[in-house]
Amino acid sequence: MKIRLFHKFIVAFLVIGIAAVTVASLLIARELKTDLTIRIEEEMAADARIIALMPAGEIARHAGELAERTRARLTLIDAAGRVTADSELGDKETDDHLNRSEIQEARLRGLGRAVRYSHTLKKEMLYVAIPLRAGSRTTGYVRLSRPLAEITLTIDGMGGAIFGILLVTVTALLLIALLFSLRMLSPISRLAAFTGKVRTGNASGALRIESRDEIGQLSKNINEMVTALQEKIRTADEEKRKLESLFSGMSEGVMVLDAENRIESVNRGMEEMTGRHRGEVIGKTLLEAFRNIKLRDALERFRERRETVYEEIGLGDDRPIMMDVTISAVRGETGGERKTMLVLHDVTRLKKLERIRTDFVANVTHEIRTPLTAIIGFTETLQQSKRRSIKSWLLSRRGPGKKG
Amino acid sequence: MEDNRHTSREYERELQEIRDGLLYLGALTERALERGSQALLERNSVLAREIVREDVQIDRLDVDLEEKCIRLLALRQPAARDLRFITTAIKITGHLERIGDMAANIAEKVIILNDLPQIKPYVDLPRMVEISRGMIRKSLDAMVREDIELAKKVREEDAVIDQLNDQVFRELLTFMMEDPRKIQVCLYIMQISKSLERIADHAEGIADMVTYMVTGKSVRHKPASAENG
Repeated sequence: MKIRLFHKFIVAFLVIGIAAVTVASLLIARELKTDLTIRIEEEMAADARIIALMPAGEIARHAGELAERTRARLTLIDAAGRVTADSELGDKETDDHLNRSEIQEARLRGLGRAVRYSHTLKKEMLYVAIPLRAGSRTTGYVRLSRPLAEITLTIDGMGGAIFGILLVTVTALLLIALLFSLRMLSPISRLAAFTGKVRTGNASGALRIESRDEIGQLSKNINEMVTALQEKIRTADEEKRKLESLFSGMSEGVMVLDAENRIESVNRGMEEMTGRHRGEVIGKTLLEAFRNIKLRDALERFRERRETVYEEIGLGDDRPIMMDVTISAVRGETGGERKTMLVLHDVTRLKKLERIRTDFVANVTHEIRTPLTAIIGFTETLQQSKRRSIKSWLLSRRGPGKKG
Repeated sequence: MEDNRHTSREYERELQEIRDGLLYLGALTERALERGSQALLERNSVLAREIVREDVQIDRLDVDLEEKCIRLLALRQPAARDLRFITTAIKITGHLERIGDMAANIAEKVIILNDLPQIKPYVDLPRMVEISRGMIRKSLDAMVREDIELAKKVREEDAVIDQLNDQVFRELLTFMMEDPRKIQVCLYIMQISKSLERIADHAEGIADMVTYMVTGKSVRHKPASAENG
């Protein structure tokens, strides 16, 4: 993380630095070139004006000397455009010079300049031309020219120095920027390490970053957030544990079915009641898990009516247990999935007690009724009999212990 | 994609419906058997008549289940495992229906027996009922859990039922030889014993189908079941 960010910084700085140096040197070189050209032109124009003061014959004669003093090539052209003298070629050049742009410009404005490729000297040249006048008549033109290479050389020499200075400055700036970014990155990487620990859940203590800038604020916020989060998780865990212990500690068996009517969860009470481990029943349908017709019919009835169903069900093969089953919908669930909750209450003992009670009542009734029947029989006979002797005879034998 | 998932979920639900239907049918036949035994021991003809009546429900469920299986075959064209399950289910439901019929037969005999004097307390018949009930339950458990070991156990238990049947037969034979007046009762008891033996055979058939469903290999009429008398 840190390394990648650091690399990004380096690349960004390098790109910016190189671009800055390149652009700056290009701009400076262009500016210098224009400036130098103008100054050399002006110098040459001044020289040409001085030369133009001399008569044409003199110029032609001293062409070589003049050229040497002005450090330029001197060409003398007459009004018709023919070269009458040239410091480098003599008067061998015979073609018409009148249509050259610097001559035309000089004829019209009094000063002509041009930069072009000279076919006679085979190099880029800078030309300056001045008309020779006798009164108002133009008698010819003086043209000075210098190779452009001179200027380029000068610029190159200066450019190197400028480039060097720029490079040093930019490198220094880069170093400072990198140092700064390192300083900035180290707290960020510490933040990253800390938040990573929080994510995996083993964050201990708090983040210690002392600075008053945005990063300091950020770390402070993170600290507060982590504390609040841990508090929330702790509370939630506690709640969950409480609910779980309640759920598993219930003596009633609780079973939740999902929307597909498969068993989603059972509590410990349920496990104890049915003798089935939760691993055996979770994910199965009621029939798969318990194979109980009454339970299935009760669920079917609940599904049809969607209202709470109460049913008494016998469960288990080896030791039959009687259950009160309550089937109801689980409410308050988001997502609209329809879950069903079955609460089973073991009533085996109650049932047994009830049977004992019924048996007892039946026995008592029977035991009391047996002697009563005899008494009632005697009484009825007594009531119906009309003869006194039988009455007295019967009355004499009323006690069960007496024999007469 | 969404539609596809929905379809496959629907398909899963239909398969589960068939599975649950088989289990329900199994539970019903088990209950019929258990009640038959109770009716015999308690000489309760009312309960026996109820069993005969309830056989109609078993028959109807059998038809429903078979129809469901065939519809699933036609509409979904299941392959491999599911295809094996559905064809197996069709056969299992047939077995269960026959078991239901046997239970009803037993109940009919119980009604007649209840009007005749009891010659001796029943010992072997309740045992046979218990074992055959266990076999039905185990064979269906084997289907739910796809447990071929359990299926194998069911096939082994069939031998016990056969032995008990022979034992009952011999015992009744002596009774009949001793006293011709007992022949009627003995014959009915023998029919009940025979029905129970047939029920065990059907349970074994279910176990065989489960083995086929899980492994894809048929084990019917193979050595483990060859011990049958």
